[in-house]
Amino acid sequence: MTAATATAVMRTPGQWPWLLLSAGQTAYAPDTGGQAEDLANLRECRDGNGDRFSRIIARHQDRVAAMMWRFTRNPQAHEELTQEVFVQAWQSLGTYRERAPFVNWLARIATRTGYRYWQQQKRERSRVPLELKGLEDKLADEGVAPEPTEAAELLYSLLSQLPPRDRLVLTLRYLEDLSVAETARRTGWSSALVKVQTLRARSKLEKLMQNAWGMQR
Amino acid sequence: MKNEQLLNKLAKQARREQTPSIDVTDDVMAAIAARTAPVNGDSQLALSALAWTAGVAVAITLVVTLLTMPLWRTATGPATEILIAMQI
Repeated sequence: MTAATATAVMRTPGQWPWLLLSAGQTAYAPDTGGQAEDLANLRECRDGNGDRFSRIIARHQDRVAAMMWRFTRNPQAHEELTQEVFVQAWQSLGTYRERAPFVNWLARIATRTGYRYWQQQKRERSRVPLELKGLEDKLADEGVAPEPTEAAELLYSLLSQLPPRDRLVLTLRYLEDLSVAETARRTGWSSALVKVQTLRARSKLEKLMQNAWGMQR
Repeated sequence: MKNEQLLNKLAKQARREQTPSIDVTDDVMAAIAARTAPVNGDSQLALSALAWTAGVAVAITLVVTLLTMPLWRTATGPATEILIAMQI
């Protein structure tokens, strides 16, 4: 989708602002002004002016922090992960070929960093807290919606019981609201694999939801 | 309500969550500076002193090993000593 066909730029907290949404579709469209600024800063970094990287951090840290909040809700780990993304980006600057928007490249690094964190943490998968189980009725009511934080915590708890691959694909598809194509770009998987992985992961999640909410009936 | 719908509703609400605002600029720049800091004079001196110490230690070990080789060849175990005594 090009910028000409996009009808609106939806900027919601935690969502990447360069996603142009039109008629329910999600697609990437480069923010050309921001990209030009990023490229100028990057070239100066490569020319030895390392301080310019602080401008890159300042421009992107809110979005990266919002993304890393999907990977951990522990404030300390969240800050460490966000830092790690930028350190990794700085170390990999030589591999950025300027063909794709810098933000996409940074998002891939953030995804890899978060995924690696989950792999390290996978032995510590949580169980659904009992106090969150009463939400089904609230969710089933069309007119009532849970608070965003409450919904995010519940979803995080549910997803944390899945293996990292399943958790990643569902986080990107549902929480980041990415399309199959964009999820594929972000993860480095094929579109077919993303579809299959999504189906499998969703099936596992539905079983978890049935177990979690079925027990109280 | 089906689980798929529940999931979509949860996700839609979760996307509206205000995420914590943090500023990592200084920490990242400090981490980068620490990784790129050139080796200063004191560090170079310490490294060369360490290298010399290691080299001297290796040389002494070689000399001691060479000197003790003849003793090693003549050395016998305690069991051998007992057997020899019993034969006498």
